[in-house]
Amino acid sequence: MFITVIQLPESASVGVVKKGNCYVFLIEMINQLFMDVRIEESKRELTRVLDLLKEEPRGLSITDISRSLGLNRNSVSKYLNMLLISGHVELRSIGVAKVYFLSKRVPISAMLDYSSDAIVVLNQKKEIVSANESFLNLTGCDFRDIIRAKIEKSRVPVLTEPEILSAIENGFKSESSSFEIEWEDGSGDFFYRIKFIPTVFDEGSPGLTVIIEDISQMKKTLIVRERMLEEVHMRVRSNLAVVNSLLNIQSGKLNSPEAVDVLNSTQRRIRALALVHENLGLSESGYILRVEDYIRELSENLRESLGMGKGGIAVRTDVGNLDLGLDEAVYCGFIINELMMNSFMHAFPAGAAGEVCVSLGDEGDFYRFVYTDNGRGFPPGTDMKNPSSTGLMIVKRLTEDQLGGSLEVKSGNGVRFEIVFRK
Amino acid sequence: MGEDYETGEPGGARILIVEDDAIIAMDMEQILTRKGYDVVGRVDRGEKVISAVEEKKPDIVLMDINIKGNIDGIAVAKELLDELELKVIYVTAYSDINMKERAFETEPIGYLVKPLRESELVAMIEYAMKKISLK
Repeated sequence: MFITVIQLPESASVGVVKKGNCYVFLIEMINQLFMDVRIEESKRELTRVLDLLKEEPRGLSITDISRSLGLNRNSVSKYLNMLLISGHVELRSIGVAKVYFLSKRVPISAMLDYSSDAIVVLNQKKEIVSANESFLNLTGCDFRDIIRAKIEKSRVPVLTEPEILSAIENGFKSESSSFEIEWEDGSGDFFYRIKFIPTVFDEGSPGLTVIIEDISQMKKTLIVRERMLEEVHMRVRSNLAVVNSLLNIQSGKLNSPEAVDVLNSTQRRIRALALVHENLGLSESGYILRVEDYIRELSENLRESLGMGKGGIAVRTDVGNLDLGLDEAVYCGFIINELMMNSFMHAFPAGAAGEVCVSLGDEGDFYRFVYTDNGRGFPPGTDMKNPSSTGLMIVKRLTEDQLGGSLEVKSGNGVRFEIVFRK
Repeated sequence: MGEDYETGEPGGARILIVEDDAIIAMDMEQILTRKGYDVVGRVDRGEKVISAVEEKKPDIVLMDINIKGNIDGIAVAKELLDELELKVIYVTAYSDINMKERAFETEPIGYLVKPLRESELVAMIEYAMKKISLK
């Protein structure tokens, strides 16, 4: 046998004699008693704070409330925090002062039925405590069957999918979140955006509001639009293919090697443009060119069309994960094609090893494009400002007139083109 | 134009072109004929392909996807695979991944994207002939 002395709130001491397990029950009863007294006291003070705020629509500071109710600032601060968490009051900073207002509250049940989104509210035990008409229509459930049902056992369509149940679990622990799911139910495909909003009930217990927005129509419109755009790009590629074939047929009838060369170069330019359209991808902001893929395929195509084989000139790229918008893509694609054709055809002796480097960097408002090769450079006397070759003319015109950029060319042991243009 | 026609000399691989654009078909035919292949005909409509294949008995079918008629090149290729165990080479302007995935379900020999280069067309035909001769 031994004696334990415990310190209770309100400075009350109680001695307890251990006899079996009975003393444990006694301590719990006493603690509960004092807790009940404290809760009652807190409730009374919380009501007083709320009543005071009701009378003052312009709001009150902690000091104002403390003076009016005769409570110390720490207690007032504690009560206001409790009311803030439960959503009964709102806090606004006005200058340096923190002012508390009574929350403008509307019964949630009144709001729910006005929403076209399906809304369901869960309590801490993940039981359904409220659901609006849209939710019942969407799920085909009867309110009496699902009310107070635990969500994981409710058999409510959509919400009982494993990924949604997991999101509900996380929703109780974290900030608001949302994600989209595709749902198939025999009558077709549906797309939903589901939002999870942590909620606090009047008595302060946590809950979760789940809002299901039907975005099927929007998604289907987007899919149709994407298909139409893909169809347009397919048509562009088809038309370029027709022009390419026309030139091919025409070049077969020519006897002059110079004329055949001109047509072949034009075909390479057409194929480079088609390759841009082939490497376009869709992003949220529209069409983008996957630059790295484009350069790799372009260099392979040029090698093949010039009969160069795999070895010889190595092509190195440093473009990171950069993607270009449609307009920039078309012009940059053309420029890369011209520079690479020039290197492959003129910079190196036949069969010699060499290197071509292409880099593209994002510099905030600008892109910096640098192209180099380590070949023989331009012939002495080449006027870089007023080039006579078609390829260089195209590069200069596209840089300055189409991209609105600046071009700097250096030639010596190899060539270096640096183009800076605004995004 | 756009009518089916017979062409080519006997010898080499027998090739049927399924293509609804006359210019592109003419270009392919000239390339292939120049290289010594036997272009046995051109069809521009999906519904006519099976009968053309049964009649001309080509070794290789060059198949466009977007062709005239109610069935596209992929559906025709599926029929050729199921009914005649004949695999095709797609020659198309479609390069998007969804279309390629659909096309690859028909187990094609190859997939060429337009505009075509002569060298890649010829290389693909030679690759197809090797595969066929290995069967």
